[in-house]
Amino acid sequence: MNDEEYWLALARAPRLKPINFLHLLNHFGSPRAIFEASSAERQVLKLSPYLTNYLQNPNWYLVEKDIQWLTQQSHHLLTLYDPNYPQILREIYDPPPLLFVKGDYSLLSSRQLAIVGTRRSTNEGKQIAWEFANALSHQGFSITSGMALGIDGASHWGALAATGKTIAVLGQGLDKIYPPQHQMLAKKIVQTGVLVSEFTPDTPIKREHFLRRNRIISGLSLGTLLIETPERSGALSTARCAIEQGREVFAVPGSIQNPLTKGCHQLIKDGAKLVEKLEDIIEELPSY
Amino acid sequence: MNNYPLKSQNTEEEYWLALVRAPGVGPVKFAALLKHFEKPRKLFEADPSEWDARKIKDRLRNYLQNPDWHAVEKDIQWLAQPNHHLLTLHHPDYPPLLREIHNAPPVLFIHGDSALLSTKQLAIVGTRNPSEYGEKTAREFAEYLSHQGFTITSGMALGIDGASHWGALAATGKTIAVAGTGLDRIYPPQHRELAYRIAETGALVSEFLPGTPVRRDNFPLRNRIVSALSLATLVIEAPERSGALYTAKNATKQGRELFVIPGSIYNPLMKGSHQLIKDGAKLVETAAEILEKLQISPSPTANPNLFSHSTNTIELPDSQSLADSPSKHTSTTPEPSMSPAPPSDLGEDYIRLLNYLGTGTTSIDNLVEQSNLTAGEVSSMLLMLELRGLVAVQSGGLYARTN
Repeated sequence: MNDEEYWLALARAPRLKPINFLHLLNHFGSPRAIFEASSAERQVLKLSPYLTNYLQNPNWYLVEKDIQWLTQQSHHLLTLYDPNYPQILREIYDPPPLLFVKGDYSLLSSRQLAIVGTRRSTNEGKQIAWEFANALSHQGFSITSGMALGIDGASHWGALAATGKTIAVLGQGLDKIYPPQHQMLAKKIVQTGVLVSEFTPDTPIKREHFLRRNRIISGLSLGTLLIETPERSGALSTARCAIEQGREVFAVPGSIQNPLTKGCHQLIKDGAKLVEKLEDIIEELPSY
Repeated sequence: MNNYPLKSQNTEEEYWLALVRAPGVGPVKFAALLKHFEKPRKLFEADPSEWDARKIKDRLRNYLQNPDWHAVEKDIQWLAQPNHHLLTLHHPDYPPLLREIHNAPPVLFIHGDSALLSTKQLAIVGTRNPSEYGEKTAREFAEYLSHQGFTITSGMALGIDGASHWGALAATGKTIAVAGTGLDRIYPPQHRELAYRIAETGALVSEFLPGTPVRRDNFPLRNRIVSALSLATLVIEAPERSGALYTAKNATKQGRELFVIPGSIYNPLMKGSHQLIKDGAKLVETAAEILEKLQISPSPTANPNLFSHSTNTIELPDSQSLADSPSKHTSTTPEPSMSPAPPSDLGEDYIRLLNYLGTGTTSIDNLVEQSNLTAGEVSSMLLMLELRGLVAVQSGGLYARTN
């Protein structure tokens, strides 16, 4: 078994959260060392019985499938230790130990701005997203989002219409495109941008995975721009992640009669920067 | 010239008015003179050597020796009309918040209820050419905050100003219009009806002498009074370089709270508003937030649901709650300071008014006669009914029921 296979095997350990994966890595130094450690060495960490069992009996069959997936064209794996793993993402509290990538992985280390918002956006919201994504793309930013319907999709399309550099962080394995309406979008993104997921390629769609994915969207980006974000929405959770990660948060205001902008307005009240035009964003970000 | 009384026979008030007319004496200079001479009479009666000591220039000296008593007499005649008042800076009823600013107007001319000037006020300002959204927001916020015990202060301009006054008139009627002209003229002329109603239940105020015509320069001056009278200023649709933006900046300079309604970034009327938020003004979405920020709890007598959430529809008390209200409309309200009759109190009157309207068209005068209500009350009730789509204005200003 090579190192990569041990990473993939550990990624499949049941109920192992990224933060615990990191604790193990810090303690043992590498996934291989974790698998090869004696039970006495492992006992020090008071591992759960699930994990102990799994470590004794990893699912090499599925790991083999992941390896096959990785042999396909433009498919990549970036482990936390890989020099190509995006540095800015490595800095967050709970970075994903592995990233599955379809497309140009070097984009993950480019200057990114996240644009997120509701799936049920108005036409005006989509237009705003498209225009900001397009303009920021022309300014040299890669546009990062979650490939959801509504604001996310409009942001990706806006970037595709400019430089094509856009990153979609998925909440499921890269084998599945969700939502199905975005098949074409995903295809386009793979050509000039990149699809990325912390989940193994066969991971099905699960609600809680979408929330986990949000920290990667903000974690990859210098700042997050919120457009049409209702209260208690996924986009708002991305904003909270950005705040926790010490990244800039930008919000586009809207009519007080539009319930979709309630989250944006709340963020502005809490200190997010109100954004009307491109310069409002550019002037807040370090230029290098 | 000497048809007019001798200086010593003039009242204190007349000396104030005479000094307001002095050339080169603006509010700041006026205050400086008052500081030294205590009151205008003493300045006029001072020995010329004392004028020298204060370095009073020739132009002013000449005036002090020969004030325009003829013009002052005209002011006095204006003031003699019913419901016309003068408040000098030294008058105990001069609004205390306004007195705080460094360029407080030395005198205020008032047509209407001068006591309103010392009530708790919220200024609402914005563009003269608002969108439907802006106008609706202004009217709704004014109405809600009026019910909550605020007097609504604005500049009686077209657009947001007017909508704010109308909103307050539809609630308690307590609204103050600070004019940029003398109060003997109404500007803009489209607001003749509005001014008439404000004078009935609110107050028209100006620092300018009756007879002062429309002058562009005077409007920015007026704006400082709008903000200074108020605890806070609410900005609705302020484009860049607008008068409303001046008022907002004045409010900040005067240490008052500044609230701003956000809007679409595609709405050019919002450019100034959004800049204010970037500069630190508070973004507000609901009128209830304004109360919260000013640490005033919503009055339990007012409809608590009104405006706790923004919605797509005008929230007015429904006819059910109007009709079911247990309280009776009464003029002997137990708390004289708690002006606003809760909306539910108005129920019977509204229904009566609708009955008077019958099936034909009727003038306001006619309704006033039948209902025994004042023209102001009838007007504001009609506006409320109009907003709810129950009545419509017909040609010639006549009203009719819609169904």
